[in-house]
Amino acid sequence: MIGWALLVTMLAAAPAGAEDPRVPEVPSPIAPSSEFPGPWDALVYPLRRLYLEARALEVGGDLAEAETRYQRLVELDPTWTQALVDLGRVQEAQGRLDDAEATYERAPYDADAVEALARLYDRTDRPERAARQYRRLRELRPDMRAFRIPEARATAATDPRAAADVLRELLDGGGADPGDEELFEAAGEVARALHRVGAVAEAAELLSLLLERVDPDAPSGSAAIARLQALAERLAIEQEARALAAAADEPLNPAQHARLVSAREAFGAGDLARAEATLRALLDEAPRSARAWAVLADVLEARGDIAGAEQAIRMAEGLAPLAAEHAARLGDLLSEHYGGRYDADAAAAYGRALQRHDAPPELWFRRGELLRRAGRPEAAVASFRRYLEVAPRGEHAEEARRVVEGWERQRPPPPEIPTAPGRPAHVPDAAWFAHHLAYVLYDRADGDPAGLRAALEALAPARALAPDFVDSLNLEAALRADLGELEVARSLYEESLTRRADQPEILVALSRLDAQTGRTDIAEARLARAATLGSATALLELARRDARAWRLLSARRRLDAWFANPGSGFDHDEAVRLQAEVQQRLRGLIAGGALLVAGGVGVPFAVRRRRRSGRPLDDLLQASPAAGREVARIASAIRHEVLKHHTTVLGSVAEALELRDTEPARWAADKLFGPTGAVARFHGYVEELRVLGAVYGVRLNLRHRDPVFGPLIEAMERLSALEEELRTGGGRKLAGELRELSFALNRAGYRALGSLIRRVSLLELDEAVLRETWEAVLREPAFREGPPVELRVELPPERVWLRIYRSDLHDLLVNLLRNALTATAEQGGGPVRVAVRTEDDAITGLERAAIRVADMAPRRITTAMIRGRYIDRGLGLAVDLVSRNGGSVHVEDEPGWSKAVVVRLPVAEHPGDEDPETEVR
Amino acid sequence: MRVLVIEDGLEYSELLRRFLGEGFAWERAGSGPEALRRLEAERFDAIFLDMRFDRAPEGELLGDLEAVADRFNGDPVQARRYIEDHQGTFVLAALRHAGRTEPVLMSYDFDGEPRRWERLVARYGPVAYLPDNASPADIAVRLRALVRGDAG
Repeated sequence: MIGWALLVTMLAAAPAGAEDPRVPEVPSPIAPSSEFPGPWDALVYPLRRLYLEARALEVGGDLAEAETRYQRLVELDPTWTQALVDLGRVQEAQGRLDDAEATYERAPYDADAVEALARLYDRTDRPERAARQYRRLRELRPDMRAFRIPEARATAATDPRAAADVLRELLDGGGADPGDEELFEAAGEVARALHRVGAVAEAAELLSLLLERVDPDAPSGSAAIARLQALAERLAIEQEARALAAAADEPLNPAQHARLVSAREAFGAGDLARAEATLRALLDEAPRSARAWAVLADVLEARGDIAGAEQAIRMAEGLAPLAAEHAARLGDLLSEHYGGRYDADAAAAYGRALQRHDAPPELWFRRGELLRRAGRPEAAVASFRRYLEVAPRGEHAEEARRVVEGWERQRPPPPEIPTAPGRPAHVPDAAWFAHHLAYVLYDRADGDPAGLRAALEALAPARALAPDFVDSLNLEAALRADLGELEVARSLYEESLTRRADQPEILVALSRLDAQTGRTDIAEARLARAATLGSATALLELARRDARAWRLLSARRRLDAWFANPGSGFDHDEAVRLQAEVQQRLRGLIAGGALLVAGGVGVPFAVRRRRRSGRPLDDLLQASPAAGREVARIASAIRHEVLKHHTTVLGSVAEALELRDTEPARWAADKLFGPTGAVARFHGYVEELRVLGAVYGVRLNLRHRDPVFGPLIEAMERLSALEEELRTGGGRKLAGELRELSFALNRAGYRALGSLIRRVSLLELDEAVLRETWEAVLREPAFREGPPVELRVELPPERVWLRIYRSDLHDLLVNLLRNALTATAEQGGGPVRVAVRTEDDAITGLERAAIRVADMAPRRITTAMIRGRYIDRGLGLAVDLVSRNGGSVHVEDEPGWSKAVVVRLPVAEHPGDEDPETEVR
Repeated sequence: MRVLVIEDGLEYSELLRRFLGEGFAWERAGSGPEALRRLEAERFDAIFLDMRFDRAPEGELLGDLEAVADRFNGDPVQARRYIEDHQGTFVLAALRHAGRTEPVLMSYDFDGEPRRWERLVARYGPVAYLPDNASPADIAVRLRALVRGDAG
């Protein structure tokens, strides 16, 4: 009490600042109010002076002195908590955080102290405590929203859902700018936290809410939207990386594998009970085998245990999250067996599968169907659109089979499996996560160089922190190979094999690199080694090579081995196709009875027989000129739809390959191959020709007997054989082959097709043709006894090549001349004149031949009458023929004659080199 | 060199961007009217013009359908096809009629139609052509020559 009185006296006598030169004048930090009493008003005047001095010292940087004065104030008036907050602040500023914490804790009901304490906990990375203080602050200052963002961040660490509620409340309450940097950061943290606890949908919902609230017309609106979308994408990637890091697909040992094969066999033979028992026993022993779970799902589905099948396939997906097939299979199950109740889940499963680059495009269609059924039409339309983008001419998947109604069984709880082996001891956490993050980015890149580089960047910490980690080494090698850095990739793979020899898939990858750089012998040796180590991929590749080289027995042996040790589900279709092809060829050989040796190379008799039999296209055209129109159409379509825009790039692809740029080759492969690619279209047209021949009774052998199509088909076959190399980016050897093919297809083939089109669609109109026709008409019974009629012919100096099919021209001329002769005969005779002139079109520059047939008969018809199929003068057929050949018929005045029927037909300037494509569509 | 590619699809513009990135900037117009609008607003060094426009909507095709139909006995279907098949020349004529003087490289094989080609050059030059089996490298060479003033 003495101290108090003394201090009051002292301060009253000596104002701050006047006495102590270190103390600057500062304004009061608390605005006085004349209307309402506040904490400042509660302070007696001497203490106000003391407080002002402390503030001035703090502002001047003398924290120790300021602290002394704040301390004194707290002692003098413990109820004035403003001094406590200030005291804590200067303690924090001096690095004495424990003291500051203790100071703030002395005022648990003062909002400023609570807020300061919360921020201190934030600062010292104690989010749980911070969150508690923020919650207290919410009670003390219910209307104040400024601390909601730090509250959400602090809460996210312990209760992400509550943190999301805080942000939602903030957004719903208005006043928050969704583009605000701090809010964006907080939303990112909360969404990540939600992901960590598996609340993926809630995270997406939160980001959607933010997206909804962004004003796209605001100055930074579009940037904020892009940032939020990027965040959502990033979260999805991180989620996959986490799933992958936690996954632990375990390969089977040979004995276990044999049991899997045995189960498959039992399944194939319809013995479902034995298959299931075998698989369950196998899974007891190897519970982390995704393949075993996937096969069990098949078996259970066949047994009608759909819930069990679903559980099994979910296990497979969890164990091998990067394999599209398991997610796709789950989608199938959910959509087919639950009466539509799980359509949304099925669509989500397809969505996961579609994030994998090996997912078939049909999934987009199926996903769309499901979303439509699930009442999400907009998302369905988006999925259908995507399907159309990736497979514009793909066959629609069959409608999802009718679902089983009334399926009420509960899904069983998931079986417990042992903890995954997880991260090797020598790989730090950060490296482990970086590796998986890079893996997901790699998978998503789907060959895009920017994506590959991003994956490489993400992988860098893993490589630096754990240089001995073989999986990361392999991943970097794969990335380098895809980026075209083939030599770097090779040396990384080789290093990997020196660290761990037992890696068959790495041998396969190396063999691909060898093949790309022309080391075919080494490539084959590596594949053989990989196959002996159990690589199904290597086996299939070797079988493919054997089949290509007509080593059919070897191919069959390898395929048998493959089916005993099957690889992925997506390879299965290819293996089945190859097996059927090999069997078919072998049957052909057996039917032939023998293998003949020709020129040191064994050529199957059946093949030789096939080559010799059948006829070239010319035989069809000569035997059946009417087929010419279709032949020309098909040849024109090949030029336009197959060669133009498609094979024309082969030369440029070759140039790029020589510069080690493999990306154009992959791009070209996408355009050329697949069910809607140019090569498939070409073979479709060739098949059309074969059918056309069959219709006219001519068995065509275009591959071996036709001079136009033989080389084209051979070139296309060679091109098909290069598909894989194009996709993986070959070297100079591939470039050389592409150049040869470019010449064969784009130069020689293009010209040969043009010649063929011209041969069947261009005819010269000369005097001999006209007179021959005239004579033929005169020999008709109707005109044999008639008066003599003279034919006058006038032709232009240049030769006239009509674009018309032979039979049509003959019929047309007969019709025109017969008509003129009839009219003239009715008049008792007289001349008929046929004058041919060429005219050109002002815009297109195209020429037409005007065939003017003039007679002296009285004018009785008009153009309109002719076009209306007025057949009094027998011109109906002529009108049809002319129309069919892109021409016109008019009735015109002709000086010196009563009238002229004028037929105009398109002409070709010269039959040699002209491009006839557009006229034969 | 800034080139306006006039085509109804995306094939040429995609292919040219992919294989002829260096030294060229490719822009695309999907029809004659769109090309005219762009040329009015922007500067291009040359025009690459496809011949057949069989995917363009009818409203975007240049040409008098009724007048052309008379060439086909009044058949509008054949007339439409004719306009589509030769739309490149309709566009070329429209460009020149509108006073556009940019050199034009047409994608069409005029090798066998010298008289027709002479007429087009006389009416609508400067113009050159390449058959549609031309490689991107051929197109680059011909465009450079065309812009230098060598219509070839």
